[in-house]
Amino acid sequence: MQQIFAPADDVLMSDAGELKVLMSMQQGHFVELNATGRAIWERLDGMATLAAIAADLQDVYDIPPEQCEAEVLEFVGNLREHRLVEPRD
Amino acid sequence: MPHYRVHGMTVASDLPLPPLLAESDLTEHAAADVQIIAGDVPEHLPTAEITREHYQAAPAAVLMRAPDVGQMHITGGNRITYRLDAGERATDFAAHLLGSGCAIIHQQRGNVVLHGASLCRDGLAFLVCGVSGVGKSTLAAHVLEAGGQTLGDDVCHIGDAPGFLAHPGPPSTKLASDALQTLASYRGLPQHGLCPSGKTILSTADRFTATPHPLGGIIMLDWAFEHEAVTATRLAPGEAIAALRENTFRKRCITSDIAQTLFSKWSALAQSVPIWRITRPEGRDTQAEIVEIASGLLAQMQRQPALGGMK
Repeated sequence: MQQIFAPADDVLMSDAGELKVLMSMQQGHFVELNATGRAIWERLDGMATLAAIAADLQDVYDIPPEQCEAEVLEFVGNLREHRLVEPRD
Repeated sequence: MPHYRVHGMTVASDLPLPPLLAESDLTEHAAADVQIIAGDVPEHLPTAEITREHYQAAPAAVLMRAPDVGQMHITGGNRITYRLDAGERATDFAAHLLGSGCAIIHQQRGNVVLHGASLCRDGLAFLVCGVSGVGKSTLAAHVLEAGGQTLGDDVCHIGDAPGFLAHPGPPSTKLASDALQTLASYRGLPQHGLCPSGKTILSTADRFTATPHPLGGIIMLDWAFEHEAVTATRLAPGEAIAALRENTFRKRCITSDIAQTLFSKWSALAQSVPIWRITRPEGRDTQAEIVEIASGLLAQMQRQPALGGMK
């Protein structure tokens, strides 16, 4: 949970209507974002650790810490698999 | 210099293009959107973001080589400078200028350009997209035999929201010999030789319309394994955006300066126009089944016009 991630260089986000989709322009991989996913994505700024993001969201959504951490890890794992985020030192 | 109208643009070209595209009014030309002029073509692009064997792409500049035919330097969304290889015919290079050249011009302008056969029926346009050889032109030809017109066969520029107009390209198609055998009315069309893939190049001038039409829907043809069934699925918006990227003509030439603009336009298109995927099992003759499904989808799209396809 101490890892830090940032959007990949070629990632784009749709800005049309209700639909929020991330896409890697070079790979063509895409992920649709729900409200929680969007909240996590907006916090992946290359500075905050996953633990800090989970703690922040726990306050916002009032959910148990274990559940929040698990959701953050699963979502970021999915983004990483699709090369939409990159780890930062 | 002769002016032509193609892909929604007025093109001034010193290399002869198909006569059907020529602007009829020779005295009052609109200012050309694009200049196509013979000249020096650089060997490399110093600011290239993408380099492959036959092309380089940089912001607002693409260098492309058609092996044994010629080279073109496409810049600023408004100019193509070309150089023919020794002994090559200008007519052979015209297809490259009207295909890749004009597609990249549109991309540099941040416009949507898809790889597909475009047809129109009762005032609406439909696109059939898919990888080379999957049967786009053949499906389009079967649909056209049942009535309707063609807007082009390979490259289609789709205008912006809210109209999403499909603009006409050159009036020709390429068909494999087995497809040609099954299409009686196509066997009589004027033939313009063979393309490098072995397909026959046919003039579709007699069923061509030069008028842009609002886009009613898109069919993406995709391969499936031999044992699988033919399926037709309406794509969810996220899948549709990915499919639009996948079927963008010369998508490998998209550079960082235009990527977000194109992505936003694909998003708008995906949310406004129905996009269907039809899977075609490899190794089995499912053409009749696919034609029947596609015809049903087109009829459905005409009954329920897309947001951008309101007549």
